[in-house]
Amino acid sequence: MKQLGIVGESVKRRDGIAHVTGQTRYVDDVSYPGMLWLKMVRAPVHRGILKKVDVSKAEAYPGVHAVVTAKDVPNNWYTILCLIGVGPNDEPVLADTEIMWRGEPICAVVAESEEIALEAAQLVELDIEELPPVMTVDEALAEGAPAIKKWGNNTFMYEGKPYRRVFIGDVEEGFAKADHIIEGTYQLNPYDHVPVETQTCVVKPEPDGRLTVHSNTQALYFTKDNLGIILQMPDYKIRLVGGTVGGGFGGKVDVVIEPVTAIAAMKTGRPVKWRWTRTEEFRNSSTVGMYRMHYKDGVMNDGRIIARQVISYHDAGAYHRHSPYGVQKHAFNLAGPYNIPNVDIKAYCVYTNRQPSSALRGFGVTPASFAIEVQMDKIARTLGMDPWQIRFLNAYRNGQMKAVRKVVEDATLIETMQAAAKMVGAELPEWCWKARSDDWKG
Amino acid sequence: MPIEKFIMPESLDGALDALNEYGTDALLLAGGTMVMPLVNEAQTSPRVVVSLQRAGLNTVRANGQIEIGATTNLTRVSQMNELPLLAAASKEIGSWAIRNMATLAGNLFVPPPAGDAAVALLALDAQVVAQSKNGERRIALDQFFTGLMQNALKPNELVTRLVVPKPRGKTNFIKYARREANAPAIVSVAARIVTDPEGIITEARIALGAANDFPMRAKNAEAALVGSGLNTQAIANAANAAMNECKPFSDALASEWYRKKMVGVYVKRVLEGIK
Amino acid sequence: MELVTISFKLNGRPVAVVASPLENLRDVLREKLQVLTVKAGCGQGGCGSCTVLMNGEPVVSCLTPIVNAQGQEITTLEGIGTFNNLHPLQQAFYDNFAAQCGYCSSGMITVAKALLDHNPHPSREQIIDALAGNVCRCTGYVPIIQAIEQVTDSK
Repeated sequence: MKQLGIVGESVKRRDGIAHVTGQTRYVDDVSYPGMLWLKMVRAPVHRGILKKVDVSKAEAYPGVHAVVTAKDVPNNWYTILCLIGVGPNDEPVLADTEIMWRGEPICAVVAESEEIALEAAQLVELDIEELPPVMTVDEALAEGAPAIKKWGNNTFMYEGKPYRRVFIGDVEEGFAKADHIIEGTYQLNPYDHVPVETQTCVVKPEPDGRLTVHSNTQALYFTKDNLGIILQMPDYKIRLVGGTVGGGFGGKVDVVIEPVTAIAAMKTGRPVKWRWTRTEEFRNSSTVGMYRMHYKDGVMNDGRIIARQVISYHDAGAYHRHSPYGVQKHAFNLAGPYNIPNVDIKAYCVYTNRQPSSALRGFGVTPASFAIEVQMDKIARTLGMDPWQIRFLNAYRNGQMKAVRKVVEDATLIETMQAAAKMVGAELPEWCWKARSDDWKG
Repeated sequence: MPIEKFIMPESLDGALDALNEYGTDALLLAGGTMVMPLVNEAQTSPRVVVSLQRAGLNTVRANGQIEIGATTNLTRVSQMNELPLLAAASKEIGSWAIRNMATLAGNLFVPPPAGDAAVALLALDAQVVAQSKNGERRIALDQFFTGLMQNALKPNELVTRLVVPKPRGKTNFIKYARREANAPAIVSVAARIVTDPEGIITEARIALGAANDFPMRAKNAEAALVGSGLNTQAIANAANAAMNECKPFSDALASEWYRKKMVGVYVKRVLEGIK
Repeated sequence: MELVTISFKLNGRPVAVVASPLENLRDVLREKLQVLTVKAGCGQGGCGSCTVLMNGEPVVSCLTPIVNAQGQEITTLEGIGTFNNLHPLQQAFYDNFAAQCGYCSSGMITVAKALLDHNPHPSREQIIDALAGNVCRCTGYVPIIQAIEQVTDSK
């Protein structure tokens, strides 16, 4: 047996002692002399025209150093994934003319204490003309739905189409040949990361014109690069200090806290801290939006799935953030790890006036896995077949072609199922135990 | 808006004086579990906060009836062997730390679906003692709640204690929530029955939490039990009656429809397990 | 509101702070006394990461007005164990991988300490019950319970 070094060893956490003695430093533990506190004023309605933001009373409140509005943002319109060519820029750092979701950040009060900032924030007067909001995927896709995005419809456009398409073969032919047509609709409702540590950022303006940014982002380079674009500052001027994240799970990747904190620090010339409240973390951080997946399978009497059609809708909320990427990943996984010669997938990334959605553990894939496996069980039940056997039968093998037009390599589904079956003492016929991922001869 | 004044009276008289002076401008602070979250986010509106922490309202006395001071904390209440029904209900509220801070009377003022202490207190025929500078009066708990977040207290009246008659009969309490602990109720049920030597029910109390705008007695359900033995039919009748007379609401935890159904299920379970 | 002076014992040492009476104990400890082991997770008493002991009893410091600390004994994690002198609970948390991001650990260990002071041999049920007010989003709780059981077993 080769010497594997550390693999297979149980290694104590390098930061374990720090955690259990409370010495691990999180962003909220960062403090600078003269540090100010930031509190955000947020939109109280789902959709509207932002006609006026009157910050005069807040600015005049004793202890307030500044109020940051859209006018203070050097480059207000961005999207995080512009870094990988996703566009157009659809999200403002601070709302300037439109409100696209309830909770959208409008202006930030920066004050001597958290309490003063909270009190002054209540003095900001907003003049918003409410518009009828689009609150579900169905409303967004209906005939005559108000186009809430600037490009005229309510979906992300994947190469000119309102959905990401993945297809191979001909599903209609497959359905015609199939012995059974089995359908199912599966929905995941919105859910949230709920890290115990809320999003927190401290920015210190340095005397040499640079910024030191402490953030509990999970994605340092997303933050750093987007900050540069939003602040219109060269890379070398932004020093990003990350560190221990008190729970991320994909919820701290959205660059929604650092830009305004940085602008507040530059505007006041003082270090600024913005620590999200628990309420903000629930209502205003990215969630996972709804996924609804419609499956239509053509299945033979012996259990082979010969055609699979999937239409999937994801409610991305008001802005792109990571959803175009997530839905694409989702689309690539919707057929499942099964050998199906005819596949047609359309995955829609739909915008509504809801809390923007983003990544969460297994981004885009876990909703697909849920739907796929419940559908597999449904197929098994419909045919009176054992759910293990249905999967051994349909599992893809090395050398077969996936719906994404890639040849399967290094498949391990079969071996994994065998190990699981052994662990739980499942009774399987011999052919399941004999199956291998490389037993397909072409 | 900002709180202007903080007062911490060192006696009941001091507390009543403060109430008298500031009236509706005063926000009473007992354990802090309901008020401090608002203070922490600058969401309070009254200009004066009056803390009852030192007003001496946390004593427990038993002399025939049991008198529990308004600011007795829930941990203490959850250890009261003389009132197992109330102890059981209190034990299901919040967490250990919250119970160390939250008070029995404070629990009467929390928004539904919270407020499980009152569910047990209703089944125990508790009375609220309300005091003002003009004197003291007793309000039966089932007359205390008058609407959503509304009660029978007059301006400048303070709840100083809960009075519970020495309990008779068998009791049971179940709280059904989305988690096993530290969660608000989908439905909570308290029951107390007194039977004669033949096992016929002579007295019945069924109280429901999270099944209306405030904790309520299911009086039709009670009537369905009186005069009968505690048998399957009587239990079914009581459960049905309770389902029909409750008026639950929908919230993030459960729909009105589901709560109604669960009232039926849990009234049945509470009665089946009563001892 | 007028500022007040509040004196209390912090991990055995007398301290005094000048604060607004409704400033919460968590913020006073963190900002005025630099006790950073007390964490801010929610400000609503729901997550338990700010748990401290007041006269040996767990309270959520985010909901404790500083005036309530007057004359009391406050214990934070530093008073339970330190880098050079780990409490068996801290050693057990470390050994059992009971801390991942670490944000809940301070509150968890503080409550566990109070539990063991009240009841040196709690059942698993009692351990779970005692921790009901402390949220962990990383470990799934099992390693935390195992860590505490390990300490009670070896006592």
